Amino acid sequence: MKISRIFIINRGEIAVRIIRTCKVMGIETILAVSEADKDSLPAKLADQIVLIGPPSPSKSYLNIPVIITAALAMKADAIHPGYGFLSEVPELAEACLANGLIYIGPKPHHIQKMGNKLVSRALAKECGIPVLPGSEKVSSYNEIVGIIDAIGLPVMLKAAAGGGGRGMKIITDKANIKTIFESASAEAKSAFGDGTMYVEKYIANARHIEVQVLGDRHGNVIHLGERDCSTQRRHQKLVEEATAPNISETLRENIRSAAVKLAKSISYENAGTVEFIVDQDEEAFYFLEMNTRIQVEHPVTEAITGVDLVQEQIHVATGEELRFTQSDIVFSGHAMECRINAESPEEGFRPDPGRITLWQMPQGPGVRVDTHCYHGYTVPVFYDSMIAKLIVHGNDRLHAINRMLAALDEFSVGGIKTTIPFLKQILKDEDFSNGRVSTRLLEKVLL
Amino acid sequence: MGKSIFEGITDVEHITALIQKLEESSFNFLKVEDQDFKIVIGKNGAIEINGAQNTYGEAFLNPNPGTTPAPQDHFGKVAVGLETQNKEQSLDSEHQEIKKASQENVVYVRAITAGLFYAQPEPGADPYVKVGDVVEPDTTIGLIEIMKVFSAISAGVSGEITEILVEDGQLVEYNQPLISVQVK
Repeated sequence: MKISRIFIINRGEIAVRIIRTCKVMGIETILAVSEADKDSLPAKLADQIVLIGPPSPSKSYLNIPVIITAALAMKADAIHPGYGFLSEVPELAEACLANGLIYIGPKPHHIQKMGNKLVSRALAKECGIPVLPGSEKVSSYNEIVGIIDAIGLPVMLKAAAGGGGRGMKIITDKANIKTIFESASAEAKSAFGDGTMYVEKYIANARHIEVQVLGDRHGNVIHLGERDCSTQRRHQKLVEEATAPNISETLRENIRSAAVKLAKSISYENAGTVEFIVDQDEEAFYFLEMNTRIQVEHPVTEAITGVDLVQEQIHVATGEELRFTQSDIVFSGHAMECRINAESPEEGFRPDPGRITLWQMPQGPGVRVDTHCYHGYTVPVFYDSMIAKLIVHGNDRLHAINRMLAALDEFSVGGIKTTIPFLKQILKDEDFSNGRVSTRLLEKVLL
Repeated sequence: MGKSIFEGITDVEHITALIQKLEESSFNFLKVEDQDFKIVIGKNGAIEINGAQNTYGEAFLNPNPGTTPAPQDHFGKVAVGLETQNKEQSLDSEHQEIKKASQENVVYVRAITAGLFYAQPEPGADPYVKVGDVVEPDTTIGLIEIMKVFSAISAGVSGEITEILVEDGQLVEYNQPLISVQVK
């Protein structure tokens, strides 16, 4: 199966990312744009663009029938969904298969299974992978009381159809459970189309460690190391690094093996990430969820392995075997990524879209910036506020931190507010520099 | 609060001069807004060029006049608040078409969605319309198909078709002009 033309149905920095690798591979790129993105950087870089709808995502980037129609009319061989939008919607993968288009990602059943948190938990359990103590689906708040009695507080009430940090509420005491349950369920129904909730033990001093996996059609699955994404604000990642600092080699190897085992058990194809919660105090790890797409923070894995993950995604999609065995993957140095958002940290991280009047990106050894922004670009209101990813690679973690601080210092942005100053604070935090990261670290930095 | 940008502008002489400036330029639309005054001038019936774009473009018109100086004309006081309407946009040729259209009372019927355009009800049938036909607002001028779901596109105006801009079976983009109609 040859892929010579790819229809890219995403925007922003990931669209630029995919176009870049396609250019290297000699693959033609057609970009789907909404009206708000027709003059964007990826639109200028793509070989062709198709204006598929108005700015609203539901009428453009989420519009499967228009996307398939356009892909077929433009004679694309394949569709790359990027991350977000339709990348974890099985109907898109199915529509591709039904219409003779190659989907650059896993099979629909992989997306379906891992998209349901209860199903994926059950699959993890079957593989002997630890899962957080918790429940199956809860239909009433009374059940939650019973579960709390069994596993103890605090617990997290989660949407089975949720993910990516959304659809979750912490319960720290038994009062108000009824109200929390009813509102959470209604929100889940509205946001994900499914109000099914379940309960999981909440680990306060947690590490969020995830493993990059890559599988092919022939049953081969390898891992490309883990990433630590503990530094989060409201469950949204801000700083990610590879490899995870301050964990024992035994724990590291166990987490990596568990991820490969899970992916192999479902014959996973293409790139994916298995996420775990690590209880630092107990040296224990628990399966959280699996994302069946390329992730935002994939560049840190690319930095320490030298592998172009988008290239491998395309390669696997053609039906070829993986180009690497596990022993071919070698890790070198330490990498970090800061997500830079057009937000005002002093004003509760209020989004600050607008026209960029100054844009000076850092460069130099071990510095990479993935962005769709440039001097004179107007950040639109319709989409998320991430404007750039700043990735550094160093010989070790300290070197990476120093490079990151220097690069953040060099990164000058005018016309919009950004989270660059806040990120500098995080990098300078004593716990962060000592590798004592956790999902609670930002509560301290924000104080 | 600083001086109103309309200071000295409110007499007829100045407004006439503004209209003349617009007429001489290749812009079709001028909108000047202050806290208690607004002037909107369009050439030959043009009110908005690209509705969707203006809506989000206007959101970024500087809310603090005076912090980012806007282009000044020879009055020294008038600001043209149209940051999105710059001539380097990629739809430059469409801009030219629209300019031509608005000068002759011609409007475009546009695709309400991206998809495949069909000029006739079914293969082998006569096209819905041809150049010279007189249409009413509810006249069907073509179909757009998305995965076997067909939407009829209505003219939306009364008038005579002057141009058919797309071919049968062509992939059309969202908002792409399909036909032009000389309105009465």
